[in-house]
Amino acid sequence: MSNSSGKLAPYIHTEKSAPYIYMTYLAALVPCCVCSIFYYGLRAALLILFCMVTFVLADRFCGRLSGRRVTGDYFDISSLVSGMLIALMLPPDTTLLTALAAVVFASLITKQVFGGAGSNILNSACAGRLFVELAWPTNLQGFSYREANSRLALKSLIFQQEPFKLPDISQFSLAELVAGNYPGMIGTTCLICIVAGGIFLILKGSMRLYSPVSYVLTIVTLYPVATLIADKTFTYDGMIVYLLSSGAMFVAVFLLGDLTTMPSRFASGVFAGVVCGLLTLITKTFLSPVVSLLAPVLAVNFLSFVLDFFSKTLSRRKIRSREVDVS
Amino acid sequence: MMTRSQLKKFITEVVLLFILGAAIVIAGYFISQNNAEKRVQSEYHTRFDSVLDSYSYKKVKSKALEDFPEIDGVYIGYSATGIAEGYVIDLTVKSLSEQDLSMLVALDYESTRVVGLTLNPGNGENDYTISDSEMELIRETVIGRQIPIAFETEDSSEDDDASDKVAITGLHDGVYYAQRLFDDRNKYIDYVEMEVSNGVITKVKWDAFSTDKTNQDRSEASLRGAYEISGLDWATQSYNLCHALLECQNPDNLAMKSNGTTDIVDGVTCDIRPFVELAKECINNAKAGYDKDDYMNGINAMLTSLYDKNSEDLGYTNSDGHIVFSFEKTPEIYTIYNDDEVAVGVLEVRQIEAKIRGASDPSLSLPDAQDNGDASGNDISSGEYDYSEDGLTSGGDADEQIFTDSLDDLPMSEMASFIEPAPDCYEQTRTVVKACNTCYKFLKEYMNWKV
Repeated sequence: MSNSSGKLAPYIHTEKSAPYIYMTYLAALVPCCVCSIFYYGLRAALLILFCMVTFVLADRFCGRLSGRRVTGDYFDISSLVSGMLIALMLPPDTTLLTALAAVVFASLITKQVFGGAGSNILNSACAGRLFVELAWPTNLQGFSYREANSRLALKSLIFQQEPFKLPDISQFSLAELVAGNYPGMIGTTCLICIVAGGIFLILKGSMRLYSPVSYVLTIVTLYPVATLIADKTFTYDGMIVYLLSSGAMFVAVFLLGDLTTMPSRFASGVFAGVVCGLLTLITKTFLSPVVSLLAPVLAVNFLSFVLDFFSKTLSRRKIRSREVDVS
Repeated sequence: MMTRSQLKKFITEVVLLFILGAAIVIAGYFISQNNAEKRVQSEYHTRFDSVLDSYSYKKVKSKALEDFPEIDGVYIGYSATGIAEGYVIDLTVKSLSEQDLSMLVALDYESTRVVGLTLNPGNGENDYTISDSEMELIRETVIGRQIPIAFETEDSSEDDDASDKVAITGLHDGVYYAQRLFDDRNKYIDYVEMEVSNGVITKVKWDAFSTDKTNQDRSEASLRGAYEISGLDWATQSYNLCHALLECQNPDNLAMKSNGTTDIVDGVTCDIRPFVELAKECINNAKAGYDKDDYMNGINAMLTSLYDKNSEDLGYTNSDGHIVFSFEKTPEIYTIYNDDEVAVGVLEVRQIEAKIRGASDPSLSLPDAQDNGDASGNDISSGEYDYSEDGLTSGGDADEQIFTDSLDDLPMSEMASFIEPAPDCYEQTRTVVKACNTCYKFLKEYMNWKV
C-alpha cells in the first residue's frame, strides 16, 4: 500500500484514540476526587492539582531533554491521569515534597526511560506511589480523621505531621466503609465512587474487565484460605472490611483496568488478575498494606507482555489486534 | 485530537460525573454519619466508662493542647440531658525514673475533683508499670481530691490537710445570692450567686448589672469591649476567681490583699473585694438557710420600708429578676455605726430584714458593732491582723503561711489538696499525682481559651 498522505501507518479510524481513553479516565476519576475534597478539603484539592501539574511538567521536561515531541497537536493527557492517580493514592497529610518525589520517580524512571506515553511497561502512578512508600514510609502515615481533620488545614502540605494512629477499621460500619467515611488514602475509600468510575470506563470501552474481575474474585475466593493460614481465624466481616478499606477496589478498577500496562487478551488478562490477587493475599501477611497492594500490580505489569505473547501463540483462535475493541 | 463535539460531550460527562460524585459522597456521608457517631461513642464508652460513666462524650479541640504534648486527648462527658458532668483526660507522663505512664484521669466538671483513674494498656518498652493492687491503693488516696494535689510532706506550710481544714462547714444546700446595696462609679451593682450541694459550694457566679437598664451586664460588656480593665477581660477574671473559690471553698483562701487584689489566682488583677464580701455574705446566708428568694424578699422589705412599695411596683426588677436599685442615698439602712456615730461596717440584707421585721431569730440578729465590725466575722476594732487580706491564707502564723515551694511547676499556694502517698507506693503515687497536676495545668489554660 502506498503512503499517499505522507503519514506513517497504521491508519486506525476509531474515536477511541489515546487522548480519548485518557480523558475518559480523567472523567472516571472525578467522583473519587470529589470524595477526597469533600472529606479532606483544600489540601486534597491542592495535592491533586499539584501532582497533575508537576507530572505534566516532568514529562515535558524529560521530553525536551530526550528530544521527543512535546508540542504540537498532541497533548499527553496520560500525565494528568497518572498525576491524579498518584494523588488519590496518597494519605491526606502527605507533604508536597513527598508527592513530588512520587511524581518525579513515576515520570522519569517508569515512563520516560521506557519511551514516554504508551511505551511504559509499568503503571507509572503505581510505581511512583510504591516508590515513596518504600523510600519514606513514615512520611505516609498522615491519616488525620474526625476531630484531627480539618477541611481548611494546609499545614500538612508543607510540614511533616506526626504519624496519625489509625483506628481499627473493622469497627467501622458497612455504611461508613461504602461511603468512604473512614480514614484512608484520599481517593480510594469510597466504593460507590470507584464503582461509578468503573462503570463509566466500561460504558466508554476504555477498560478491560478481565483482570479487575478475576482479581476481585481471586481475593474473595482465596481470602478465607489466606487468613486461616496466617491468622487461624476467618470472618466474612473481615473479608468485606479488607475489600472495601484496603484500596483493592481502586486498584482493580483504575490500575488493573489500564489498557497500556495490562495484558490485552482474555486468557492472559484473567491470569494476570488471578496472579495479582494471589500475590496480594500472600504478601499482605508480611508486607505493609500499601506495598502488598501495589507491588503485585507492578509484577503483573512486567508479566503482561510475556503473558500476551504466550496467550497469542498458544491460542488456536484467530489472532486479534491488541487495539481496543471498537464494537 | 478530539473534535469540538467530542470535547463538548466530554465536558458534559465530566460535569455529570461531578454532580453524581458529589451526590454520592454527600448522601453517603449523612447516611453513615449516624453510624460513625454511634461507633465513636461506643469506643468512648468502652474506654471511659471505668473512670466517668457519662451518656456521651465529646472530644475537646483547643489550641491549649499544643502546649501539652503529654496530653493525648481531652473529652467532656455529658449526661443524657446534655449537662457537662466531667472531663476525661488521656495523657502520658514521665515517672521519676523517666518511664512513661499512660493513663486516664476523670475530673468532676464543676469542682475538678478526681472521680476516676485508670491505666491505659502499655505500648512500649519504656512503660512504667503499676500493679492492680498498687493502683487500687492510689485510687483510694487520690479519688475525691481536688486538683492540683501535693503530698503533705511537700507543703512548706506544715499544714497537714489544708484542703479539709479550710472548707467551711454548716452550709445548707440551695441557691444563695447577695448583691451590693449601692452601685459603683460605673453604675454597676455587683452580685454573687452561689449554689451549695451536699454542704459544698458547687457553683459560683460573679457579675454586675447596670443601674442604667440600657447597658449590658458587666461580663457581657467586657467581652464586647465596652468595659475594659487592665489584664485579661473582666469576664475571664470573674470566671477564674469563681473557679478558684470552687477549688478552695472559702473566700478567705483567696488571699485578698489590703488593696483588694490577689496574687494567688492566675490572671486576676482586678479588685476582688466586692466578690469576697458578697461571697462571704452568700456563705453566711447558706449557714442561715437564707436562700435567694428570701434575699429578694429582704430587699423588697427594704424598699417597702423606704417607699411603701416593692420592686415590682417601683419598676426596679429587670428581665433577669435582679432588683436594680442603689441604696446609696439611704446609707443609714445598711450602715453600722459605733457609739460615736462613726460608720464601722455594713449590714447584710438578712440582718437588715431582721431589723425591719424585728425578728428574734438569732440567725437574723443584728451584729454587735463592737464585736463584728464588718459583719462578716472579721474583727476590725480589735486590731487583730487579718491574714486573709495580705496575700496569705487564713489561719496560722504569717511566717508559716508564705509558700515558696512548687510542685510540677505549680506553686504550693495553688495546691487544693494534700495527701499522703499510698503505702509503699511513693513513686507510683507521685507519678499519678503528676498526671493529675498536668490535667490541672491544662484546664487552667483551656479555661482561659474558652472564656
